[in-house]
Amino acid sequence: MTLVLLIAIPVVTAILALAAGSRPSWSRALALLGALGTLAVAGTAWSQLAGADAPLTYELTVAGNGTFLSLMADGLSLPLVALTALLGAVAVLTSWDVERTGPHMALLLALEAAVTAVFLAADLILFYVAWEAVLIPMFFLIGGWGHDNRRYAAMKFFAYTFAGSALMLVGIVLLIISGGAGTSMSAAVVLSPETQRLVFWLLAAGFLVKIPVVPLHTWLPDAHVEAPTAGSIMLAGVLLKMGAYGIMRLCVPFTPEAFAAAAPLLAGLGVVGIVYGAVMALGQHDLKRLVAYSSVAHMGFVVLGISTGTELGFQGAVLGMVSHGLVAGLLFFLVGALYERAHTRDIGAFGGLGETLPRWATVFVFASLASLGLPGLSGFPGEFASLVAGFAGFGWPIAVAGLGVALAGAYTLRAVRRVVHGEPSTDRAHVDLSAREIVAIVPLAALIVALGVWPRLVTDLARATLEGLAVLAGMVS
Amino acid sequence: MDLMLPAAVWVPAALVAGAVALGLVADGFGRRPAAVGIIALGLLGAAAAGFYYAITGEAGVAVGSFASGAGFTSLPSVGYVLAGFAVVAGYRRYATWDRGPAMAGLVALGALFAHALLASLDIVVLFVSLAGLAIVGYSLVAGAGTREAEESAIRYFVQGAVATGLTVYGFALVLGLGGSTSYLEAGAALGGAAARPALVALGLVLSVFAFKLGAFPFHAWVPDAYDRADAPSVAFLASAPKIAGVVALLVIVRGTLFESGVFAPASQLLSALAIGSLLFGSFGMLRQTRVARLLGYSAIAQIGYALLAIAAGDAGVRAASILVLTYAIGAAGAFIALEAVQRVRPAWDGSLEGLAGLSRHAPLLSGALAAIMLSLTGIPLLAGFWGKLYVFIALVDSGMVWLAIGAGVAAVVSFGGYGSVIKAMYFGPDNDVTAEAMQEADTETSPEGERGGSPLAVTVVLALIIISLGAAPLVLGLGPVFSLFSL
Repeated sequence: MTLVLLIAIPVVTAILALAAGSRPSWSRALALLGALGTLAVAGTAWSQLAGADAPLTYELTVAGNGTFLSLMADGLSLPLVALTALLGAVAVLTSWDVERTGPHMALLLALEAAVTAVFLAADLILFYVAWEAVLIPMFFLIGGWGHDNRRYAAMKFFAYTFAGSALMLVGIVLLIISGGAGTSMSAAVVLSPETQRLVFWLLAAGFLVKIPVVPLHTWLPDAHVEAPTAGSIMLAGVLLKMGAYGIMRLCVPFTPEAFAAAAPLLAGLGVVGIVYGAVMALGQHDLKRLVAYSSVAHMGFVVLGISTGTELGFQGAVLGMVSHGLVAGLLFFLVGALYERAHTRDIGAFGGLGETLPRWATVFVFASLASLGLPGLSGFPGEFASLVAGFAGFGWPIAVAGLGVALAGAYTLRAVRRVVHGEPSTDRAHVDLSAREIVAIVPLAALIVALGVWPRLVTDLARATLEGLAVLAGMVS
Repeated sequence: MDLMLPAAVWVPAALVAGAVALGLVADGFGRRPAAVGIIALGLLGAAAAGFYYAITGEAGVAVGSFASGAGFTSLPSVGYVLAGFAVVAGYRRYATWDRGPAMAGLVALGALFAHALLASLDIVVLFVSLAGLAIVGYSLVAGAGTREAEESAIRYFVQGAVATGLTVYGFALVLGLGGSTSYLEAGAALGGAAARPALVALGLVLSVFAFKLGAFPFHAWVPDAYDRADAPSVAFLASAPKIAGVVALLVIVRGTLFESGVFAPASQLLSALAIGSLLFGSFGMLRQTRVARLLGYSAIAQIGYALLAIAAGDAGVRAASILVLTYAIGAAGAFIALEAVQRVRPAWDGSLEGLAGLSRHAPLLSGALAAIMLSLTGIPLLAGFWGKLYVFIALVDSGMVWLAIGAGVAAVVSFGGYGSVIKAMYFGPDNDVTAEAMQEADTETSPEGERGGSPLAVTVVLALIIISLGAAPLVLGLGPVFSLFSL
């Protein structure tokens, strides 16, 4: 029942927030209440799973027949569900003063519910339904509340991800039909190598666009830059994780042979993403675009970790996903807060914010250090594990990824130097972070530190599940 | 021919025919509002009766020339509902226009012919109902009364005349080879007939359906007619006849007339028609500046999915009927929504740009139309998804994986069209369009509290049906839908 609440609370509060549209303060309060309620339930689910030997499950039966509503939370999905709940609350706090509050809050909560449903789905049809349902609120958030080029960005976002997911649907249908074991995601299905390859690539089409890997990434910078802050936080924080989650949840168990065959290619895509994202980030003048490209790089590490098919690599991927969710969420929050004050995101327009906005600058430096993978903060353990697993699996070519690590230092510190240090720009933002903004930042920052110091916070929960996945992936390689 | 008809066939038909007769009498006495009201009530009453028989009656009964029970009764009832909704939505238009009651009567007669076509088990019934629907179609397009509409109607009629000619040849061949007007008897004989003339008969009959359904290569009339006729009439033309045509084709190709092994090439032929329709329809949508034309191309593409399902063989029977059912509800909703837009913005010229900012003035209407557009795209949580899903399942099940992939790509392309409607309503004008344009749109919106009236109410009802049909199966499963609409 806990699992149903994780989806039901945001859905119900979304409807209420929409209904209260003419009273913005009600919408706000309802949205915050819903987001915090979901977060509390996610915490409960976490403690339930930590104390249990088996995944949490929920299955609805109507008149003795199973339906598509079948949910499951295990060590792979629950960290992402908790991340979604946390970022959902942060996103609500970010968009406190947004215009047309009611619809905006409703879309945010609907988005949260849909993403949560993706992570919790234990039925292939439900998984696809939730996957597509994510598109609708995000499409309206970008198009309705985005910046200058929002119409183009919204259509591009939808077209790219819908193209991927249309192929994914064919893959899912092929999986259901050739597996012959119904629509359950935990069915033991053995497919012929030929079918596996087709199913794998159809599914991967949807997942790789979503992650995104280079060269399928071009929707991401546009969508990120044009999206309102709350949209960017959810997009970078949790939507990108859906792709990596999908590979681990569907491709590894259902098509292990095809996954093993594609592993070197996936690793290559991961490394290309790491380097390409870093190089592109180095060349950006727009802070938001910089963070967007750094997301491509960080997700490259996640793909690299997954491609190894080992427990260590999977742990690196899960840690990397949670960490990137926290760090990118924090960075987009900060960039959004700065834009609200200065109405520009051009790195060149700022300087000396360390003096004029000391609190903002402190948090920005902190988040940047977490982003470049400083040991002791959350970015480090995941990327380190992915690299180690990558070296063990694929040898010296992975050293290229080291270049990306060095570049990450370069682009991050360049941004920090330009924005935080130097001559103060007098005509820009004067108002430092408010109490509401600090309330949103504190949990993110605390978790970034906690995860950096004690990564077992997540890996202990995930271990059993990832072990099982690694066994499945290892059976063939 | 056996003239004993089951109640599920004659009761709804008699209600509609009676209402039309009564309506025309009322019109004769100058009572236009009463006439239109009676016709609307007759249609909705026929639908209610049909659903009653579909739920309580026996499934799949064939008596004489007609099939009834389950889908054969419930799907025509959906046609009656949508026709009734079209008349309700067009009430003000029809009740204040001297030709109005006749138009409403045509819609009702069309729904009646659609019922006959759908339930037909006999070539004579098939021919009469096809011809009847064609005449209703020409008249509804011409009835709009503008010069452009008359021109479209003439073009539609000329193309239709060619199709009717093909029909005559096709049915002559079927009769000659099959020796009976009954599908079942003729089908049995056709199975043993010489392959070549039998295939010619198949080709001719498929051409007729391609024209009737607006499929490639006989699709050219669709966007024209949909754009020029008045919205409530198109709401009918784009819905009930499509359901009837697809089901009739299913019965002929997958159940009776062309079922035997001789007709295996039917699948290739249908696939070719389907691929052409998907290409012309989906890509055609991208270039449109007028909403009704866009929906016309959408109709071509959607029929493409239905034909793909029929091509997939027996696995596609369920898929084709679910797809066309969800499409028809969406199409009717879309055109009725356009009628509502016309109410909210009397000066609207039918262009996509003219929808700019609608979400601010008419949030309910915009929300309903957006849901309808997403349903037509095939996005989950909306009815259209289940149609697309079952088409994919049918294709994959019969080994046509690559066609499934192609159909998926076509769905993505079509979003370029459906999405542009949403974009226009919700995402405001482009930045190079100044605030003046928005202001202009504001003044165009009728100030004195005109809120869309009955078309708005009907649009919202249809959008709610689409949302419930989309979301409820997640919780309840698809069992109820299948048992009500099974063929």
